[in-house]
Amino acid sequence: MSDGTGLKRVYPPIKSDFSAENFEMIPCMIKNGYKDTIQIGEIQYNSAMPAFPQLSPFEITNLMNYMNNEFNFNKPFQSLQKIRENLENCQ
Amino acid sequence: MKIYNILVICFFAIGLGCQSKPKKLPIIGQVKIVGQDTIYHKIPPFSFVNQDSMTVDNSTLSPHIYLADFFFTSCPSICPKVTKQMLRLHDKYKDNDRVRLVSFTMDPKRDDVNKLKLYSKNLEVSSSKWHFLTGNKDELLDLADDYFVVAYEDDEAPGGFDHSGKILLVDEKGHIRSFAEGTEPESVDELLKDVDILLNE
Repeated sequence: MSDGTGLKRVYPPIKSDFSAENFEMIPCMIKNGYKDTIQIGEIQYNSAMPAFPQLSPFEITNLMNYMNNEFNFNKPFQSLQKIRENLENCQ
Repeated sequence: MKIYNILVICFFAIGLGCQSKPKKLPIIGQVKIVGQDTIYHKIPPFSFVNQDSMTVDNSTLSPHIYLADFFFTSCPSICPKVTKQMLRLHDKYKDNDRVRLVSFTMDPKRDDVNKLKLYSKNLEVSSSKWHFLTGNKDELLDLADDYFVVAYEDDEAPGGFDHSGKILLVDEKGHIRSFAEGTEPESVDELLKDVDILLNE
């Protein structure tokens, strides 16, 4: 939810160690969705995350900086250039 | 003397006004007058299956009042917010046997019984309390009209469906008595009060 807490075993919390540890993966997860299992604490989240292909690199950069500040991931400021390169290397 | 009379009438009127009449919720929708009868909008007959493959129709729900929404499990937009509010309603009336919750999928192609079973399991809710219903797509989308919910397939929309996030309160007779915008917690605060009013009618 907007406070980053997720919902039960359906939606994983953004505000989590998983996000902090996999911060570099998140731009591609937003753009292309994510189907693999995510383990946070004792919970395995299996529902697929839908893709948002309509978002531009600029919008994803804003999202990344918002999450970084809002949920205290302590990452450096994300530049548009960096996110653009990141998105070009999505698997 | 005249003033005295008016005062008496006023006091009387205030007294009557104070007699607390139990508040009743309106019946929402178009009203038809046929001869001597007033016909209120009612949810038409439907029959779908829930996450336990059990048939759920109007008669399954008629002993209960219920809260309904339209959603799909792979919805990227407003559904998570609406589901969170449905969960709030669920938690409040979990132990009240008169209340049920019903979530109709708009996307039965992807949301089969297994998908809905997993979804309800992950929400940690019981299938006897909260039905997740799937079935014929056209019937599901047509029924949304009767709940005054916007729900149609649209390739341009996020996730493939355009829809509104309303939560509807339906009484034992199938009349819609109140609704909330499921994306707005404040709107659901009001709905919670209306559920209590309906329970006391």
